[in-house]
Amino acid sequence: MGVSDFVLLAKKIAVGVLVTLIPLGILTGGLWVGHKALKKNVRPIASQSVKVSHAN
Amino acid sequence: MRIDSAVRKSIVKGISWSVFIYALPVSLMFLSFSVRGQRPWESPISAAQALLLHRWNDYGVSVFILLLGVVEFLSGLYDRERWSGNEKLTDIVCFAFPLLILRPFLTFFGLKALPFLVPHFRNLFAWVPFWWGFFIVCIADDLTQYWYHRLHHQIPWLWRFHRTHHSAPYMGMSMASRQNVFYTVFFSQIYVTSVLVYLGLGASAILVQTLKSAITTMAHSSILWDKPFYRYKVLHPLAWVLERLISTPATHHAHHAATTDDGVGYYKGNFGNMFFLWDVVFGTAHISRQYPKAFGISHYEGDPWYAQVFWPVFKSNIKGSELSPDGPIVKQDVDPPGTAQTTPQAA
Repeated sequence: MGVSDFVLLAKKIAVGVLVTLIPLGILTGGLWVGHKALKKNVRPIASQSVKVSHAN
Repeated sequence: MRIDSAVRKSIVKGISWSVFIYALPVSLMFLSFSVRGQRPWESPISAAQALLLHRWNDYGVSVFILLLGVVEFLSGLYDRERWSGNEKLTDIVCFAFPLLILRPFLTFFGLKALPFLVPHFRNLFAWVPFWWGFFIVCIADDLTQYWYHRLHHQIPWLWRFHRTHHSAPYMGMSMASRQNVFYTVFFSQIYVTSVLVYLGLGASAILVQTLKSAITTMAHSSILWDKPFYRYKVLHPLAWVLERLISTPATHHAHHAATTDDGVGYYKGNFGNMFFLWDVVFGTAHISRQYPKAFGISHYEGDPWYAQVFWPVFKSNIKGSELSPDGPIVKQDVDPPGTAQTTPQAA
């Protein structure tokens, strides 16, 4: 294996990383943003929660 | 060797459209939540379905592939002439590698590396309903594989990493996983899906993987299960939908043909794995409802198995081969008798 082979492998891995990160960024970013946006928009009844105190 | 400018334009245009396609299932899901007033993250999730699917993926798929292999063997696919010692060894090493090396590595990636790198993201999106998760993973996994596969055909210096899959002069379940190790290890979609599993879409991912294994294995198989759909007129409407939606033997065998642009063979396209729809959307589809007469690479020299599996670590000792130390990046096709023009195999 020569230097050119290592360069070729590095380029190949770089393409793979890019092809992985683009969809992951779109999907996880989309899920996170959508979740945040809908959570902010929660109706008053849904936002109420009951706090249970274990303190004596 | 440079990428053809028309091909480059088509890749850029396709990737731009893909951004919208990736965002589509997530956008539709939130639109549905918004319209129906659903907030799934407020309800607990069930693990019973996930366990059932896990068992099916572990044993069901393996039994299915084994049965297919037995049927192909009995129908005479694996005779000594077609399945020589070198081809047999290449197929067996490639079949065993993902099971013995890649699966433990991916398990480590999912169970150790990701919790170490992003500990707070575990099951972050476990609230995604099962069928929406299925829709998201289908697109995430298969569209990513479409692009990974297509780039290895259309970027000349990537071709030799994918060449092993196309050097098989036959179609069958044995060559479905025949790949160079660097192609397999850096398969982008397995990391995309692993991360989605870590984020909580595991149950959906198992169903997608099961379905995908079945469709891709059947598309590579020598059993032409789609033939009746083209023969009987009553089935033609169903065939029209099927051949545009998923990979079939007719469309995927055309991708593995030894010739291209002859009306049947078309290795310049038909890159889809589970879904053929990507080829239809991005203009790389060729549907003929026929099956090629010859498979593989027209100039295949029978490179030794170790060069095919481990190139560029080990090179081919066959002079003039694309895998030899001074071989061409992409070798010109050997024309069948009676034709004049030559085309690069990977183009």
